[in-house]
Amino acid sequence: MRTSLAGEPLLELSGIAKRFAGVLALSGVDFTLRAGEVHGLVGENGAGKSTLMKIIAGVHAEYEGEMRLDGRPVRFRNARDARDAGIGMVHQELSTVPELSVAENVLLGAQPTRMGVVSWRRMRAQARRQLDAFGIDVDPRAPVGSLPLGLQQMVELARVLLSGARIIILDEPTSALSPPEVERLFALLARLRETGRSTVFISHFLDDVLRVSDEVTVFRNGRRVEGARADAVDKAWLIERMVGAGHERLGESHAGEMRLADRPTAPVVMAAERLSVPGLFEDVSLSVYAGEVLGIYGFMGSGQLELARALAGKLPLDGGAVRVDGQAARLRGGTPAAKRAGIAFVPESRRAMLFAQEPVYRNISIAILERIGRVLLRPRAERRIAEGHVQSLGIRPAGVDRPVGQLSGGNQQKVALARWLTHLPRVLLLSEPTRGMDVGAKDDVVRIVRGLRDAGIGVVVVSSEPETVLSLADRILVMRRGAIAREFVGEPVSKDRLLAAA
Amino acid sequence: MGKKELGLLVLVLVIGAITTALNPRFLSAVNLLNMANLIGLFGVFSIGQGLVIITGGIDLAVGSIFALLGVVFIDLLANHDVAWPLALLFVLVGGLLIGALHGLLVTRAKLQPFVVTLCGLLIYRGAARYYTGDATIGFGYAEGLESLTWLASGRSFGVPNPFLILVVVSAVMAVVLHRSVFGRYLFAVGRNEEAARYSGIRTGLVVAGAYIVSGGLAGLSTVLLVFYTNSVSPSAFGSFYELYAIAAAVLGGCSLRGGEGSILGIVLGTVLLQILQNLVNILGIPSSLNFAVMGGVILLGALADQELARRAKVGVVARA
Repeated sequence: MRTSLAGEPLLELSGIAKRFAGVLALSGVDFTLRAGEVHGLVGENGAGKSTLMKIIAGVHAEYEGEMRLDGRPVRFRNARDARDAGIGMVHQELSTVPELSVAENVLLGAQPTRMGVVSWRRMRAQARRQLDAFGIDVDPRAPVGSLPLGLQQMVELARVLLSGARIIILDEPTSALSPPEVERLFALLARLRETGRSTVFISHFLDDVLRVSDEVTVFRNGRRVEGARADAVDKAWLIERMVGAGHERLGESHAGEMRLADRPTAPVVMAAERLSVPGLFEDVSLSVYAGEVLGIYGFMGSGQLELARALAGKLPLDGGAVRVDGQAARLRGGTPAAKRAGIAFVPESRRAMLFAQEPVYRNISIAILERIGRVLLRPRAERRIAEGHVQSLGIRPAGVDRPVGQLSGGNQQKVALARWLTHLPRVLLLSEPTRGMDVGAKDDVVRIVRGLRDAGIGVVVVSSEPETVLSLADRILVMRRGAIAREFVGEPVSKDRLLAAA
Repeated sequence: MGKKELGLLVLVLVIGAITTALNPRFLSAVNLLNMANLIGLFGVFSIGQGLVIITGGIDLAVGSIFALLGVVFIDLLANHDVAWPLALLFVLVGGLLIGALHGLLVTRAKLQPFVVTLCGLLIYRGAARYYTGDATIGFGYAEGLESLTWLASGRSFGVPNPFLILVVVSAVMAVVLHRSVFGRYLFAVGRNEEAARYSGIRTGLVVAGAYIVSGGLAGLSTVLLVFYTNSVSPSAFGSFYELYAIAAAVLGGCSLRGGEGSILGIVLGTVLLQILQNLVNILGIPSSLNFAVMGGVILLGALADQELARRAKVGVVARA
């Protein structure tokens, strides 16, 4: 497969630096893309891969350094400039129009007309030719929204190609695809290489990157760490360079190894069997023990966030059964039904969880109003309970009457957790519980979660940040493309081992 | 009493004072009692409307419900010799059932409240007109209605009974909205339905509850209104009344986005609307301008409210 025609440098960047509000996102980056090569970019979230690609695609116009295309210096002021120069980007969030047909999407803005009227017949024929040329088998009349995600992506790619792109940037193209869809994408990439086009392939899936790329480059903390020929290196080599030897970032205290607890002997509080939601995850079974924190880690789009939402009744399950304390949990009735079954959920979005204008105490007491007073409210009891939690959780500022929307993100998260401290569920699902928090607030959340665990409930933490799972979990499941790929229990674990399993 | 209610009260007093200055008859006993009666009639169903608006919904069907339940009510009493307590019960239960139907369509079939109640507005009005063959229907020679007539249109201690009924209804509903768990849930659903669900609140039941209360209060209002007019002309009876109710609720501080409002505010909104009506009559303004005056005042109120909210927000930012 790797009979690359790669030779001439097509695009050269040197000394690229980019700041966002004074913070350095990229510094001193050199990058070369040759004609007819597939170039893999890897690095953790925030390493600077996407920023660099957005500079190339004209999305970020302000930057330091120099860019040369075909040896001539260029500077794109916007995405249109870049497109006219032959650079196209397929973003993670697709920009196809779901209601329009495949043909309309492929030819959007360039519909063939006949006396000012769109000629549907010619449009379908033209789209069909275009799709056939890349071996994409799809009915041009079908609405794009009705297609599986993989084909939608192909349609977007076809549009980029039709606009005359010689350089195609794919941001996380495989994270949401099923294995056959990934194969189809790779076949298409091979075809593009044969026609002399160049591709930049950004992905967390290191196996994919190694398989499809000619060249790989690793980014860390806004710098280019090292590049190599893909067939000369392996996954461990990549991970070593992605994670870095030293602890370079604050709060990244888990780069070293730690040992997980042995499998608990406590009873199982929640058993999930063969859960499926088509397109998101398939055939997932897991048990949560009383008094443990189970971490579920996976890259963005691997299905762990969706699994938590499904267990919380937020996403209808297609198949499978969930038992809480041996009793079948009916999740059809949505989150309120899940709560009655003993499963509580704190979603990744605090805005979705809290009533921003309402005072802190009402946000804490809302889940237990019926326990405090069956019919009538008892505001004094509400405040007393809330005050206790505000004190014990160290919520700042300490008053219970301030609207919760005025608190910092970390303190809002503590309020969300306090709601479930007021009456313990059997299982607490936490989605990205420490995202976007400073170190102090993260430590507080760790302390609160440990406290909940020690009270005997089962806690499940799902995250796409390895640090979050490592700092909280007693046992770890790693998800990959909608299935559980590995369990870590009673053994040493570290960030690079998690990354290698994902 | 919150800032909004206080502002509304001041507005009521100011407009009252101006009207009195222009025509002292405004404060005459006859005029005040007449206004109290109308406030009672309009306040009861405006409270139901307010509850629905607090959940982020709207009830456009109220006026047509009056027409449909009104013709059936009179028909039962005048032509079928049904005992009045039974007829009263029928109308109240009918209102509750219609409300439950709306609630079901909104929460189960997931139709927009505007669509559901707009269809209700058309269907009930049509049904009422068909029921009597578009003819006006009256009590005729119906007998044994003295006690009901007194209840719905008489006076106690010199005060019109509809006004006293409004006082009782608002007291009960104030407890429901501001002091009960259900009331807190109503606000929670209106402010952030998703968060309410995450808190374990069965939002469907809560929203349906608001429509049921609105339907029930519409049933009660039907009886009061029927005895106010003594006959029902199905094409006109209660027409536009849903808009009075919405206006009263919005004037009273309910936000159509949901999550805002109070019983006291809704009642004061009703009072203000009736004063405006009265002002048009008593000052000799052509009554054809009635709606225009009302619309103008509501518009000014909404603008003032917006301005106050903006200033309050700036204040918060400045302090932060």
